Amino acid sequence: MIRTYSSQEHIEQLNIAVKVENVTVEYKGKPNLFNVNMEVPCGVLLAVLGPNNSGKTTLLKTMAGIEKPTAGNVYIYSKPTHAAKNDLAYVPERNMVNWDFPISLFDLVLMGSYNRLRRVEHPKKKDKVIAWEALERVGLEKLAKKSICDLSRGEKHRALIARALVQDARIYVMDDPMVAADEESINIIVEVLQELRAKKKTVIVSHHEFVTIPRYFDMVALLNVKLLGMGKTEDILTEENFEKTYGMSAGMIKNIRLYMDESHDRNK
Amino acid sequence: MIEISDTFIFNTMLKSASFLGLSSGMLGVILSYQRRSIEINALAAGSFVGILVFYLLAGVGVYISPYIFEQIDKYVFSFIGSIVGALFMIVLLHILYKTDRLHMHIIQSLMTAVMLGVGITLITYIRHTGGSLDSGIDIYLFGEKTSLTSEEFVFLRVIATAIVVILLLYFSRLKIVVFNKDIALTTHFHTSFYYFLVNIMVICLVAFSIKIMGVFLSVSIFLIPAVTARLWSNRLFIIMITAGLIGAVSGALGTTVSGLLGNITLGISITLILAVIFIISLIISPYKGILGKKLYSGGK
Repeated sequence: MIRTYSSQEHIEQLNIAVKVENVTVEYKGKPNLFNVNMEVPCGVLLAVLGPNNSGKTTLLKTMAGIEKPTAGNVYIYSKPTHAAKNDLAYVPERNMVNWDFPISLFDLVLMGSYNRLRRVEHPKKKDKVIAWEALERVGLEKLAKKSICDLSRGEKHRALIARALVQDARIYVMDDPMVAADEESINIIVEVLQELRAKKKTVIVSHHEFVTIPRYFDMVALLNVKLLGMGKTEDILTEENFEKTYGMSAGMIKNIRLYMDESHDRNK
Repeated sequence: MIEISDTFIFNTMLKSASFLGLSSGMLGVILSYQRRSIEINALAAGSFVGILVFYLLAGVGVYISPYIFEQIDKYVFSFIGSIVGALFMIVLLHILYKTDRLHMHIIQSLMTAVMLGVGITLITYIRHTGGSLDSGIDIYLFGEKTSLTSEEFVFLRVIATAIVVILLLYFSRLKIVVFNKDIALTTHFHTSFYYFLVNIMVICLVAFSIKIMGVFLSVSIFLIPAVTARLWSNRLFIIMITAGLIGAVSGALGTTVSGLLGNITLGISITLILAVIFIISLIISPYKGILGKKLYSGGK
């Protein structure tokens, strides 16, 4: 079905980077996501929060066009995901990558240029320069020739982000890009995320650290199979919402709150 | 059995085994990173059953229309049978993978066992029925030296060369598809096209490897070169070229050894040569060798 928009609608659509419309994704008859509706504006840093098995990865993969929704649609800049070539770069979860694969770090990062190449074309000098710049941006240029199996956890995260940077997309979807990473890597990744926002790119990240959310992200989406809330970070990160999403005891939420207050004070 | 002095047949088989080794060694690297090495066993078993079923059909055809069926060479039936059998098996395996009930390696082993059971039953039946039908059927068990006709050799040479060219041309794309399917999909690669391409190449090579190596040892010419080459390098392209060379050299040496000894089949001699190269590599290779690591790091 071809959708047409009035001029006012069209202007609104241009400001929406990702639109998720009544999306349900089932796996073995059970819903991983149920009737999710969300609109991600252009140029924001959005954190997707939720407990384990809440459907965060499924949501990100559906946005990236990797998973096909059982029902509903996803639009990238008003186009269906399969038509949004080069608009979106995906950073998979570190554990979902075969790190024993025999390639160098530079080869991995260079993979980001393949969307610009024709079927039997190999990367050119220009692509290699872009890959080198991405490596420099994440501070891994000295390890370029190293095998990917020899990288530390934080370096692996940075390597995957560098590959996505080479794609030069308008939307970046990242699955847990900071989990179990060292402090240096987290700082570099956060800098990269903020640079992307400054360039008006849209970044959607699944994240686990509540403490750092107010510092890093403009918007938060709370997910537990259903979308329980989405909006500005300060509006969404409330005790009530946490309890609704995580089903935790009040004591646990208090501790989290304490953490959040401390981090807020530190920021002041 | 042929004598090594029978130069024409020996040369044909030596080249056939080398071409098979080169292409299957290179393709084996892709399969090993797709975690599909064991699948070769199931495909060879499916191919084996396909050949036997086509033998039986050809036997029935000779009764119905002797003139037509006696004009057709036996190798045409065996080749069509092996392609159909391998194709059937690959479709069946992928249907079973999609059900997500069992791990893919369990499915592969299960289907290998079932197909070998069916194959052995069919071969026993064909032997009992006797006649001209059962002649030459044993070569599919362990391979044979004189098993390829000159037409088959030309066909193998064309297919093996095409596979090497395709692997080199599509190397960059196959690398991403094999490395991470999600990254390949979001780079907007048609991953199903590349899976289809790999499957077609595998089916064609299995049809030849079952004749040269036999149903039980077909997997060795795909798997061992890939594993051995991994011991020598950390770069996919070099691994692929090394695996191709190991396969080609093993094919040539295996044919020579089989010709010299006279009483072992090609499948067995090639597998033994591959095993020797693997063991030597396991000891002396610089990256993962037992002694090699110490030698290259100065004993530290």
